[in-house]
Amino acid sequence: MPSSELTQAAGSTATVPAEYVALLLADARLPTGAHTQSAGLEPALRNGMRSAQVPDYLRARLATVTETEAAAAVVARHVWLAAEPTDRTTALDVVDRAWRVRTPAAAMRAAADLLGRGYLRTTAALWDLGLATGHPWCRAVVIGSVGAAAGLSAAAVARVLGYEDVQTVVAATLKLDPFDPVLATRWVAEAGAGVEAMVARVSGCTRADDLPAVGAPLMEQWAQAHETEERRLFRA
Amino acid sequence: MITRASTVSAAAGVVGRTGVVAGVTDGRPWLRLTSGPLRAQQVHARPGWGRVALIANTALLLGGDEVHLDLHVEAGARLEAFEVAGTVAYHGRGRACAWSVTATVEAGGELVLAGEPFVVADGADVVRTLRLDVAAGARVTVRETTVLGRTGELGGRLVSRTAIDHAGVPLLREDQHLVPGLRELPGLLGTHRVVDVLTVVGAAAPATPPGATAYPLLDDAGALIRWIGDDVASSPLHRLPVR
Repeated sequence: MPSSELTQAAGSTATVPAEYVALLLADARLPTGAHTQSAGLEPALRNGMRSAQVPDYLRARLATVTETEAAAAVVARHVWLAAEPTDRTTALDVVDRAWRVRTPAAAMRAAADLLGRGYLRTTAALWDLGLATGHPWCRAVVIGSVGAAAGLSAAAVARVLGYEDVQTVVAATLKLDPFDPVLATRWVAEAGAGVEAMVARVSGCTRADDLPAVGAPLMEQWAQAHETEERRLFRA
Repeated sequence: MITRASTVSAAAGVVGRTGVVAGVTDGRPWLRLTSGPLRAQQVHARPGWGRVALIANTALLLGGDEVHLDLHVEAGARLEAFEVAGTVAYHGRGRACAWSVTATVEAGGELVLAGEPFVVADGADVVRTLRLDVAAGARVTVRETTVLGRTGELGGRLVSRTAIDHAGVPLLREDQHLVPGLRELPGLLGTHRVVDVLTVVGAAAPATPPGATAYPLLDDAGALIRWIGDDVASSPLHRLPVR
């Protein structure tokens, strides 16, 4: 197993195996602010989607917005590894911009920026990534960078994004419309095949221009409307 | 009755380009028109503008057809192009068809492209492409209305791609895979059949009418205003002035 470049940074003494970092990044208990997110689930329910449709909602996300985000993370990882350390920030800016160009809903961009900030703050406190960004980076770019530094494969980075999205949706469903948590866990498990198919589609991406741009029109509409909702449990 | 152009066999499909170049020389607007599957017909315009009606020359859009519309607005020129009637993409009998619009608008130029409903009938397999290259200081307004299925139909396959560059850099890339089996999923289109979009680049978008959703573009470069619904007549975008 590759040991992490992260371990050479200030404040860290132990070797952190890549697989361990992958678990850490996908853990809802990581203090990134992810508990404020429902991956669009709350606005979807508000707009008439039933909880029983959550498995279909997961399929829709994996074919659209989550695929784009995972691909952006994969490209960010590639760029982080390929660029000279002094050029990384500029190169990652290009990936971040490419993701934004493919994410028309400002509410979705704001949610990803919030998470990007949370991930960057948390991981930068543990390890020195040597990144200096003057503006927010979306979650995908931050996770791709941390994944690169930690020795994660492209597939592992994409899988973190996919798994995290699935768990965010299902956990939010349990909070908003409580049901049997075992059934919820079954949905997460059954989404695994779809996550792996998505991982296979995006793992080969290396250029920002290659990013998929498949939109989800109603999700985007619901996300925009949710921003101005006064009574909401989740930010997005 | 409209007949297929005799020079093109129906089996091969109608493939061709229609071009409009709008320019201005010594303060006088001019147009250079090239007709293809669509006829570009100059019509009376407001002062300072060129105005073109786009009229199908033959029965469109069948399997194997590829219709391309190329618009070029030179620096300082103004062009309004509008479709006279909607377009139906018919059952393709196993063959795909394509409809693409490419527009380049130079600095100080302005383009208004007013589309009519594009209907994807059962059995059609359509790729629609919109490419806009908008210079800094140019303005573009495009209305696109897509309808899945004629009355009583669910509609065929539609892949809709949009690529907008502004001031030389990518501004928007958006693909919609509105194919049966996927588009019904929650969060994509659900049971809706109509996607109506007004795209404004290089200028402030009009106020968003009730029921529609505004998506401000990056760099404060304009907005998409989109309505998703069940029938074209209900779209609040009809109330927006296209120009």
